[in-house]
Amino acid sequence: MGINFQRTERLYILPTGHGYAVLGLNVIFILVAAASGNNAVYILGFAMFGVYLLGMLATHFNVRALDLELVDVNDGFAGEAAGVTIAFSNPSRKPRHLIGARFRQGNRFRPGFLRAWLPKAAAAPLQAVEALKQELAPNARTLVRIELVKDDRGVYQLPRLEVSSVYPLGLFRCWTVLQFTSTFFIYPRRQGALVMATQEAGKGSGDFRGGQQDTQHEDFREHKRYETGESQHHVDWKAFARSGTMLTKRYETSAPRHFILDWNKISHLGTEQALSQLSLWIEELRGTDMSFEMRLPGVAVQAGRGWNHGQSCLRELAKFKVSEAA
Amino acid sequence: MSGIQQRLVYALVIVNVCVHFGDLPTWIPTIGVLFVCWRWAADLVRIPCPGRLGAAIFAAFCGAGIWAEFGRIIGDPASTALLVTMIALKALEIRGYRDLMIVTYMCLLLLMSKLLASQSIAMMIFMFMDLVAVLALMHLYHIPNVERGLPWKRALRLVGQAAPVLLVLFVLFPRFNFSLIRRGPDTSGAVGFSGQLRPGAVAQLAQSDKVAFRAFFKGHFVPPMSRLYWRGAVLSQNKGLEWDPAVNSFAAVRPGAENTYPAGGGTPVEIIVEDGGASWVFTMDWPAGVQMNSLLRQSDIHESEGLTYALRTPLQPWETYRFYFEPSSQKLSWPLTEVSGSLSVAAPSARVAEQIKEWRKLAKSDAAPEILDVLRMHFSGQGFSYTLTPPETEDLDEFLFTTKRGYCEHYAGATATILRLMGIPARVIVGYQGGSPSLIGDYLIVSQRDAHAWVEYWHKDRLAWIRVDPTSWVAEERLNLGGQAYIEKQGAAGYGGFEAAWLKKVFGDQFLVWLSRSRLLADQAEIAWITFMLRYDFTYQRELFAKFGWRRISAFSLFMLALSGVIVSLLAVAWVMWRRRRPPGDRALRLYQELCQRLAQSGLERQYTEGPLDLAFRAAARWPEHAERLQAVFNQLINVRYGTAPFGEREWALIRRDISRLKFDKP
Repeated sequence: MGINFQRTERLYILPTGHGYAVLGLNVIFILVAAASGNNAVYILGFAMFGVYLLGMLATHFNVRALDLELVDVNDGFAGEAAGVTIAFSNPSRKPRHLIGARFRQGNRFRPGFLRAWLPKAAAAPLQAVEALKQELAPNARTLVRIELVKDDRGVYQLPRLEVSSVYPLGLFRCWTVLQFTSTFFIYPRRQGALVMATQEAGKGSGDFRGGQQDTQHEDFREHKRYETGESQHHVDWKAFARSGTMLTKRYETSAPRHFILDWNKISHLGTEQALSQLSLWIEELRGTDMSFEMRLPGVAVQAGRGWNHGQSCLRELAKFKVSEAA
Repeated sequence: MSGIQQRLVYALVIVNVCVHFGDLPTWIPTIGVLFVCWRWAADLVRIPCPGRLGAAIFAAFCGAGIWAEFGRIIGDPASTALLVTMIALKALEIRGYRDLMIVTYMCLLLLMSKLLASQSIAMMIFMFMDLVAVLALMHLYHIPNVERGLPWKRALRLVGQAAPVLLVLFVLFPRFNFSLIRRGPDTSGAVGFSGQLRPGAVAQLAQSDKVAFRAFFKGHFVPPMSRLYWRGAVLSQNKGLEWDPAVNSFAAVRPGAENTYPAGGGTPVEIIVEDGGASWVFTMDWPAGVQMNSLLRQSDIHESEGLTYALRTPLQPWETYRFYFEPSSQKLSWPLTEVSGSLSVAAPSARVAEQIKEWRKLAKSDAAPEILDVLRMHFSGQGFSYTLTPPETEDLDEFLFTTKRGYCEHYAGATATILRLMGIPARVIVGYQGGSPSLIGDYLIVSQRDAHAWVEYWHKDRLAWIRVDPTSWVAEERLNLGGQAYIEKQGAAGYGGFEAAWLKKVFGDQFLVWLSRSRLLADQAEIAWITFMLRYDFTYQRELFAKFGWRRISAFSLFMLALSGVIVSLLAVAWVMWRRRRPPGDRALRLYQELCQRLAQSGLERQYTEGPLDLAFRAAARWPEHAERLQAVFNQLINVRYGTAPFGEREWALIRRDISRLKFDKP
């Protein structure tokens, strides 16, 4: 998805509180000049007014000459950060400065002149939710992750993203509002105290509480091709240096190789608690090379391993409807 | 918020407070500087610094102090004083971004009140530097890496870009002048006439080389030096050698004297006052009318005794007025009370009375000219001398018989007293005599060195007051050269506090010549600027437009012109900024982006990680009817961007045509 401000997005600009104050100062200059017939004060007033208007143009162009692209939508756990990754690029000859971006929650309309008296706006622009704190050099591109915290699991429409700047003088705030079509998932809060005790395939039995496997006491069995999303913990870097292909080492281990995460075994916890427990287990498993499958009422996710498999399980958890459990 | 931002804003406030030294009572800027220094010190070492409450208490104290000083809070010097202390106090309790911003742009208010006091060239330069500093600071608060120092260049560029708007507004914005704000009396020890004549007072004044006013004759004939008498006030109350103005001199206003526009013409002379502070309006013999530069000010003029003029409220720095004069006094009729009132005199000592009897005998007549002849003989022949440093004498007797040394006020005071004792109505006039021509001679600079006092007596046959200058009897050169040149010639002149002899010794003989030349040059430039600044008003704008054929342009039309001028110049600047925004060259990339844009509008968005080849495949799959052309266009674009094959205008035209022929149906 490419968002190109210059052709598609509308830019808005209004004075900040300081902008209105300086405008008032300008009015004072002109009134005093007229009241005293003093041309020097007129010059000061006119110069300041010119700077005021030019500052407005500068603020506008600072945002206008900016290309934005949505690179990635990041899911998250409830109560933790989710968000989007946006590529800011500057195809112009001048550096761009102090671009802030934040999600607009809700549809409240706050006109700019009222904003001046609201305590939130009094905060320094550098303390904006997410900001491009370094200047963006000509022809440079940078990725910025803009975060968002939701307390409840579910599938959400991405809220509108407001990208704004008060550079250079802080007298004007120029902003644009980006409307995304993408959705993002908020997984159930990851928590729970139960021990994962469901094991079917593989040999031996035991309890697994996640975390890294203790490789010191295990025997090397084979090499396996590295899959994207897999933990890099077991990559055989020496083999990679030799051959150029990433291989992971597999070990003979006494730990279980396959897990079945079954809803029915933990449904006594209550829906949300059970989902949270599953969420925690999946989060722990997807960082390892162990395979797991998940069984929810009405939904079954086939066995698999790795990051992407974990994500699809977690997304099922996020989507899970209470009625399905009944 | 980092330290450097705060330190710079402290420096900015200190500079803007310090420029008010000299305009305000010294304690006010001093206390302002102290407040800021206190905060600065508190940032560096651990000393207590007042918070909001402390600042509020200080503010109350400062307000009370200013009230005690000026007796008010509103009005020019008082408001400036209040601003100085309040902004310094605000700097004392800077807390974050918001306070930094406020203090920074509020400094412009301090600058504004300074500009009310002075619009000299130096002040204009300071104004632009200050403005750039304020903008650079505001810039600094919005860039992350403050370690690079103050963004002077960006601030300068911003001011440069604003220059067209400034120019358009300056020329076109209608100049209203309500004359509502006026500086109060100058409290900084202005040099000028006190309106009394104390022996030694004029000599005291003449020690200063400050300019009193400048006189423009505008191409009219400039009277010779010996006739350049600038009348200030008439002193008709005699107390021995001391003279005062008539007690009720302001009551002696003639009906209708406010409307002192010239009735019968006369030569116009324009006066630009330098420091202001005094109420006297200087004119030349005989004034036919005085015209202030605004109607409101016009009603302030009072005509007082002996066709002199004064203002109810003191002159402001650089205030201008114009008077008309006619050398002949034919048309004038003098009130008889003025004449009869000019005879009262303090009783003389026995020795003086004796001397007067002797003079009467010598004169052989009661007529003034004969008596004056006798007096001239006496003063020029009896060892009287003219000196800038007269001995302290307040007694006529002592001056006539013992000290015999004096400056113009001694001679004028003595002569007028003697004339009255002999039954001739006489009075003392104080003002200036002479003036030095400017570098190119278009105006006269009258300085305090030219301060002078002389006598007018009543000629009962001609029914007119006649000027007589007793100084001519003892020091004719003073009148022929003017005060400035005379004092320089005497070698007694000082230059800005340095003695002439010392300067000569240190820098050589030519230095003083060079110094006065360069002073004249600076004066000429300064006056050209100041007069332009003073004269550029609505009338001037109308005349300017009349020259281009637009007669009697209204303020509204000017305003609309200014508005459209601002819009046009803004658009021009915006266009230049827009043009310079995109990097030059890379037409292939631009065409590619354009193509992507069109594909996106038709529902095929390029993925972030997708290259042109992948995109081409996807597009060809989506629109099979265009597959061939799409392939060709993409290949061409890839060739021109990454390949080495020459690519001419013809190929560009082809590729552009191919792209325009791609018509995608929307999903």
